[in-house]
Amino acid sequence: MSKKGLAGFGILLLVIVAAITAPWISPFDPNAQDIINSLAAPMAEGSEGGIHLLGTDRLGQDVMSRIIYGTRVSLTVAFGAVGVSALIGIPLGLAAGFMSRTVESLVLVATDIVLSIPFILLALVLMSVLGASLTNLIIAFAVVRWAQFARVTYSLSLELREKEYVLSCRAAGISLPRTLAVHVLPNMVGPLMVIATLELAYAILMESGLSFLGLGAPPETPSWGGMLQEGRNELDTAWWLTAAPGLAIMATAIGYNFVGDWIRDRLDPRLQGVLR
Amino acid sequence: MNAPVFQMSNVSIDIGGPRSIMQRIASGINLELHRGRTLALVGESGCGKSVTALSAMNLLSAPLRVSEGSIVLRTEDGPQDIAGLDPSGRQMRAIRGRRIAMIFQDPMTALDPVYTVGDQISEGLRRHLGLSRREAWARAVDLLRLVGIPAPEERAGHYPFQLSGGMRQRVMIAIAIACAPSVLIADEPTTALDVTVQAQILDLLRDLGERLGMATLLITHDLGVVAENADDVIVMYRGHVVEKAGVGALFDNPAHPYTRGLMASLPPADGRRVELTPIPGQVPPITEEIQGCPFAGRCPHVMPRCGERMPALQNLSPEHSVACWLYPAVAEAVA
Amino acid sequence: MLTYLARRSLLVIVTIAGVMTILFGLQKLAGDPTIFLLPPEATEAERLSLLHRLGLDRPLIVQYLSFLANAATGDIGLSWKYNEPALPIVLEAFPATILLATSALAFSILTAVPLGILAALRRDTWVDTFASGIAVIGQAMPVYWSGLLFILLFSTTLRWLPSMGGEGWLALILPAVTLGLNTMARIMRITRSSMLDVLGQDYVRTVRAKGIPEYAILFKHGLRNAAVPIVALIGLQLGGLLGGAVLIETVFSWPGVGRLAVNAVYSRDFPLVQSVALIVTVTFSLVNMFVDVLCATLNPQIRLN
Repeated sequence: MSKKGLAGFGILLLVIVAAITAPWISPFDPNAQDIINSLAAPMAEGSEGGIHLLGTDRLGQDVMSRIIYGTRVSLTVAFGAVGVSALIGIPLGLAAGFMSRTVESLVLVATDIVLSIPFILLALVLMSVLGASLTNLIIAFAVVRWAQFARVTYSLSLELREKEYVLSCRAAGISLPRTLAVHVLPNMVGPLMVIATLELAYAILMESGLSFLGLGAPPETPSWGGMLQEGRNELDTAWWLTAAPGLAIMATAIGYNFVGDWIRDRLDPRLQGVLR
Repeated sequence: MNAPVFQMSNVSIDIGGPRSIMQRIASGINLELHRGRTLALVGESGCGKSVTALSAMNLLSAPLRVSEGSIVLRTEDGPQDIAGLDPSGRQMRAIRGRRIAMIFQDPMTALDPVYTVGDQISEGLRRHLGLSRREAWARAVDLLRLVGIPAPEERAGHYPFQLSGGMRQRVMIAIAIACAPSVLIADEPTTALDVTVQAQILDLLRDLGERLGMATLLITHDLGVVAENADDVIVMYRGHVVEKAGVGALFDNPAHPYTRGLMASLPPADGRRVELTPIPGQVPPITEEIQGCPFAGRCPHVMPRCGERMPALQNLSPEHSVACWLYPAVAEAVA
Repeated sequence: MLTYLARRSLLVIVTIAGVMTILFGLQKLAGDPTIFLLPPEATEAERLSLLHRLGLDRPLIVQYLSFLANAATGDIGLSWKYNEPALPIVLEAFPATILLATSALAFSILTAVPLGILAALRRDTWVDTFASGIAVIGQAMPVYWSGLLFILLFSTTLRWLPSMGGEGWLALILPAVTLGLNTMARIMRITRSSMLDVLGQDYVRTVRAKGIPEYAILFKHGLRNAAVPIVALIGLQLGGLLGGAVLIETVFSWPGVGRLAVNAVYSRDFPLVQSVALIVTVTFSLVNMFVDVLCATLNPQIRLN
């Protein structure tokens, strides 16, 4: 495996392990307030013992612990949002590629419409209508990003539907769903995985963006975007409130991107063209 | 015969660099090109023909490089060793396209898709001869006419994708001869074309070579093409010249087992039906280290000493030489 | 080419209509706006009169059709918060966003294309590593976070540049660079890969065999052939830039439509949100159409067919 791939998987493994073991590895309760120790600098000692490795926020909550718990929001939203988008987008993309001309145009026009609104703007409106919650974050993402999956699946369909083995299946009278499941989808797995990793990175950036605007995770849930929003108010006095969650977001996004690059490099070059 | 316009002496080409293992992919190549004559370089794919052609233009790019020997071009300004010039320097650029020009194998990919053919012919004319845009365009039209393209005024404004393969190869020839070079290198110029077009292109090349007094190096794997178009022939195998002769002498009396093998796999020109015998096996890959003669593994006459040492090229007659232990002249030269 | 233009324009109209439909649906989903617009002590009669004034007591289909018809004439209705036509408010803020987005785009193109070319030419050297490092970071950094870091470094600590909009040309630098970082990373990646692709093509060897100097090969043939994917990507990136502006304008208090939209969402001012979305979508669609046509023009094979 390439160094990049290894680094990517390493980062993601770290995030996943942190999310699972959060209650045991966190030095403090992420929501425990310690007003005396408000805005303590990194390495400061807590009033009831323990070291605040990354300092504390205005309410005296331990930043390190909140970062560790933040992996849960990050993973839940990213995988939830991308999973739902893929479940909607891939079947629609296949339908556009293999069913009638009418279906093809309908799906393509729909993707054009959805993708022509800047995502964050639509998500902003959706979140304000639906209300701030993790489920709604996932819904807001899927409402728009299914189109990306549909579009790529459609391009791959165009590539694959002219292949002899697909044509001969149709000629031999094998049903469309079976042909798709047995001969088409397996050949799409690689490129779709690449798209999925890019979307995962996009999802965490957007999740934290919405949280930053106060329209993402609810305030009582420790999330990296929410922490950044608080950090902004203390930018002049407590740089760690801004630096720590930002680094966490960036590292995770890099992790997804590296894994995606690694899969892409191992793909059939003809299918790579679709990913441009 | 006059002094050759172009001469490669003892040229060796290596692949690999400081960080990887060096591999010799062509060694001890000697060849001369004369005005108005065509030298054919023959061999199967992978035998080092194309790198030889590229080295003649100093167009080898890392990790390939000329490691030994000289490549001399004679112009009115005297002889010049190309192998010693900076490949991307000004002096080398003044030679490329001006003194030595090259035609590539696949005309489908060798023309820039976003410029008209007129522009692509003009480019070299403007660069080398300092012509204005208008003058160069007029010359481009003349050249298109010269290479036998109908309605050249109109065609000059066309893009490559609007032309057929044969037309594109004619355009490539027009680009190559634009500045009246003294040496023309044609690397498999007809391989990618329809059979019916191949003969036309070869006739055109031969005709232009004689009319413009160019020395032509014709690289091909097709002995039929050689018989029709070459004056002299060099047969290459896995980076070595194994036989060198006038075209008549070679076809009357092929000496090297590899040459004979190539001829046996060629249908006779008179249309007789005979059994064709292909040479068994394949050219060993360049990554394989070989001791002795590289053809030994496929040779019907292989002897113990073939595996020990590669014989040097020796004369059988003044215009015929061969590198094979079968011949007393070769064996004696070593002893 | 003309039929292509006609079909492309039709798509733009369909897209805008589709977007407006989505926005209308969202507005309905948001429920009764009078709850936010009226003080809690308002009477039922006041509520009904407000509904009537906003046209919200009509049948849904009538509301929808009149919404579309009015939108087509540029009338999105009154902003619920400012109580004046919403579209002009947005149009007034729009130049600031355009200025920000085009500056960001200019910054990203001017840095990414040369760096991408250099990375392709000096493949596997430290230049290439440096460029890919920048690309990795640029693509993974949340825009608002890089904005905050830049403010921390250049405004708070070094005091070189202002952190707020509306303080002259200097105030443009930080937001534009921040907004352009992500786009820069993407443009650089595609410039590098398409340059590598083009420079390995047979026709480049043909040009080299003509004795053309390397710089001319690079610009006249290399960049010209690599331009189509680069231009196509730049067009797509504009959507990302306009979206990023929503966040960046909030971070830098930049007086554009992004900040307007965020504030409108906070105050549930739907006509204002719809106006922003309409303007942004129209701009994005038109730019994309222009880019598609430009790509077609750059490729003679498409242009002549």
